[in-house]
Amino acid sequence: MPTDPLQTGGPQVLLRGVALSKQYRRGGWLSGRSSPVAALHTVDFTIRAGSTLALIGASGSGKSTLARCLACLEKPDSGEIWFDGKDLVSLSQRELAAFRRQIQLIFQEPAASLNPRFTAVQIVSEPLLIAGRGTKKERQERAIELMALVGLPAGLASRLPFEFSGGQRRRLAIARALALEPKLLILDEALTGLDLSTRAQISNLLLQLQEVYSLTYLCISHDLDLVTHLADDVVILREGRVVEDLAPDQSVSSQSSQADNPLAVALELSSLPG
Amino acid sequence: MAHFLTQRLARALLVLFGVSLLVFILIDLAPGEYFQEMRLNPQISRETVAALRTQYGLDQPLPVRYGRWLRSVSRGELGFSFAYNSPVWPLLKRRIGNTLILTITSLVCSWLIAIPIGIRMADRAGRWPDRISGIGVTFLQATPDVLIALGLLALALRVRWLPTGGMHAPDFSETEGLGGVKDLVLHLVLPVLALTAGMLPVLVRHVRSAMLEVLDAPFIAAARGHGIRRYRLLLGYALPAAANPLISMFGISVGALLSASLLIEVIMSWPGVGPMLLEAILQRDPYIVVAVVLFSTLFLVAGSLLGDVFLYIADPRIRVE
Repeated sequence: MPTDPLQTGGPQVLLRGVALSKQYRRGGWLSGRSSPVAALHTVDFTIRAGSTLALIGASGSGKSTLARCLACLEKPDSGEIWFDGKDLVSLSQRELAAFRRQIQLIFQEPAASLNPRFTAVQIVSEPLLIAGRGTKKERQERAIELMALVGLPAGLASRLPFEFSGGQRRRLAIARALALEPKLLILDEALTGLDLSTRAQISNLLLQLQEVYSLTYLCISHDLDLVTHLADDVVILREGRVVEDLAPDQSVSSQSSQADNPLAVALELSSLPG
Repeated sequence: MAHFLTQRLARALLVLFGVSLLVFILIDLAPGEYFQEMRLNPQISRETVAALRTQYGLDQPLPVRYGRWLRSVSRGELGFSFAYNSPVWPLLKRRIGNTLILTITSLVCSWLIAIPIGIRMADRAGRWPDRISGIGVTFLQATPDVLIALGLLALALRVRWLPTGGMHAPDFSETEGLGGVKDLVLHLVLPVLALTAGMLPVLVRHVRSAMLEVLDAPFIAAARGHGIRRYRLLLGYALPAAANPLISMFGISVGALLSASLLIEVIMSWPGVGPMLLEAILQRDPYIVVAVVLFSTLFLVAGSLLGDVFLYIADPRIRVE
């Protein structure tokens, strides 16, 4: 099994993407004209352990594709994903099983990401069941603990997803993602569509969880305010390419106005048609 | 659940009542009647024909005839067959049993084959297994049921492995036990194959599209992210989530299969209600037609009711609502 040749920073770097590329094919097999669409084009980035990297860009810039590649839901066509010293792209499915549990994705649409037929406690204990951990009773107890951790009382355990509010569903999705004690949480537009107060509550919850469990976040968002609140580093994607990789000191928090803010300017540029 | 079932049963009774009334009106509107051919026979006097019409109540207006028929239904007779000179129910019940044997076997076979094929196609969507199965399904769908049945009969006549008509061998006796079952199974093969081949394309397409929709859902991606095994994902997560449209389809398929089976029974000489219905229509024996149509409606309603019950059991959201 190959190890990361560039792991210079020791335990500081949790994940490193090297020249990641991914193409999709558009067009039918009957027409004989299928054209490739590049979703990612030699993308390089680094996520430091315990930090939050914000990945921002306009719609169709490849953010979600990158998230799916990192969560091992899709395989990049080329490139390397170094996680904890191992290249995930070169691992077999069996070898990958242990690693993919350490990277959990919280989806864009929390309602659709929760099995509509499962109760809250089944949803949160589902990853433990799949991983074959504990007895049914132990799994349920753990699920109730995790629900309490994200602010969902045990009384809601037997409710179905459609009986929860938008904010509660996000909390449920976070509780489920934490079940396997991951090192990296990928938040794919995880706070989109929430009202301001709920969004503030959830982002504070995420910060608390990060502190307590030393979690690392990859936060995908359109929302500059959220990026300001959560991110330590920022990567801006445009048409599948990294156009900006801003160091923490260049990040938004130190900027006084939107016009002076390199992040806002870069985001605006990234949303212009190519 | 009891309230749910009572509600559905009440609706089913209402449907049966409406259908029986409609069939009565339609038969009344159709030209000709059972005793019309007798008028052409010079040996039978007009008075005799008129007396027969009076005896069987055909000279009465429609509401009176319908009322009499309802009373005969309450006695469990379902009307009177002029051709057989007997109440309809004793004539029909054995044939209904035969039709149910054929239809239920075909229903089970169709779904048992359609589910794995549909799942496999959805799992391999856009790849060769999906494309090849898709071509086969389209070919079957484009072939009329009659042609499939005739093709199977022609094949069976050539290879002589299977009986080509009826439900039992001519020398069959009711007391044969296991041998009788084997004989029945052999006779079932061809009509069940014909019915299954007719039903399969629709079911496979439904299973495939329902599964495809679910396999794209984020909760399936989430389960994959937790490292679930492929077969467990398909059977334990995706299939139950795709079940709702399929259960509704199951209800519809019960009714559709009965309609198809009436035709196949005639072609393959299966002694079910199909040949009896055809004979009754040709002879203008109205109460047999009404009874068969009602049986067909009952089958459809029962299928739909069964579908509703399955949905109630399978989907916790419906129970909560």
